[in-house]
Amino acid sequence: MPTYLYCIIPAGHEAPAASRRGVDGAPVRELCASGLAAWVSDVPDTTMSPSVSRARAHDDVVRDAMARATPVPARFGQVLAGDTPVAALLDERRESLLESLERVYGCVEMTVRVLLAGQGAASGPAPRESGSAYLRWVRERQQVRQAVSDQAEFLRRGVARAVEEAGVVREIVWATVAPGARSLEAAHLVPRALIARHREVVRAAVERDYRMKVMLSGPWAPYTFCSAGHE
Amino acid sequence: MAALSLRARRRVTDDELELTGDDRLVLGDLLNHVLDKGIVISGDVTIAVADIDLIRVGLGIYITAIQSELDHAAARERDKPDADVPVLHHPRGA
Repeated sequence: MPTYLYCIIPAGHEAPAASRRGVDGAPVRELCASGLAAWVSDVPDTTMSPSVSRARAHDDVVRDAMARATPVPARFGQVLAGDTPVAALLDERRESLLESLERVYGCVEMTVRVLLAGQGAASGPAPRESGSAYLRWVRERQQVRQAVSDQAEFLRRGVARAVEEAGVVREIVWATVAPGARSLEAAHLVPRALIARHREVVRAAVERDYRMKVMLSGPWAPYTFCSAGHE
Repeated sequence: MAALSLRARRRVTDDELELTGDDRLVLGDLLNHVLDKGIVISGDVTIAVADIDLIRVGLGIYITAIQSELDHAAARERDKPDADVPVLHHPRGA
């Protein structure tokens, strides 16, 4: 029977409770190999279509594992032919999985999103009454975009400085700010003991010092910090 | 080596890991995390890319709505015709 993968933790931790259910209500179990424990469940088919309830179920299982250890979360939809291929992959990828576990050990991921000001002036349609009006509109749009880009860079440096000085992050991954983007997004890898302090520092840096709006969500399993280097 | 050092037995409290944030934002972030991030060990991820794009679009609309309201509020407060021009506030004491 195909095996669905949720996450990987070091072997030796408490196994999932017998009552723990995963995607489509399937019982979740632990599969140990090469010093690693994969949290898995049986699924009837090798394909898995995404839905909100399945995504929630996947994350719920990963969050349950977070209560025992810091997991390397798997991306949704990884179904292998059975337990044997999962064990083989744990063995084959052991070193890189251990590196990932070490990278995120003791940490959670916090999503930080700062709303950027000033896109409104550039979002209207181009004027058609005259060539000079159009050129003025183009120039203004370029100025606004440049100002927003400068703003994003200024904020990026300010937030990074604040959280690093306060010692509340281990690592930051910034999302690319595309032209016309409405927000500056980052994933912060935060030690569990510092979650509340991290929120305070980020809010103070953005809302008090820069007087801009920040939205935080989390704690998440360190999905973003386990994305790089996948095959 | 690393396997031994990672075997912390401490079990964290539920409070510590309680998920917080605006409900709509949390759902959008949950979907972005679960569907678009995390380790891939098998190379056989079978989800449709279009669905991820739709989620991103949905999250973008939500952020845009909040941003528009903030822009309008700031414009009303300042009551100036150039209210949409970005203003970057320098940090206090900088």
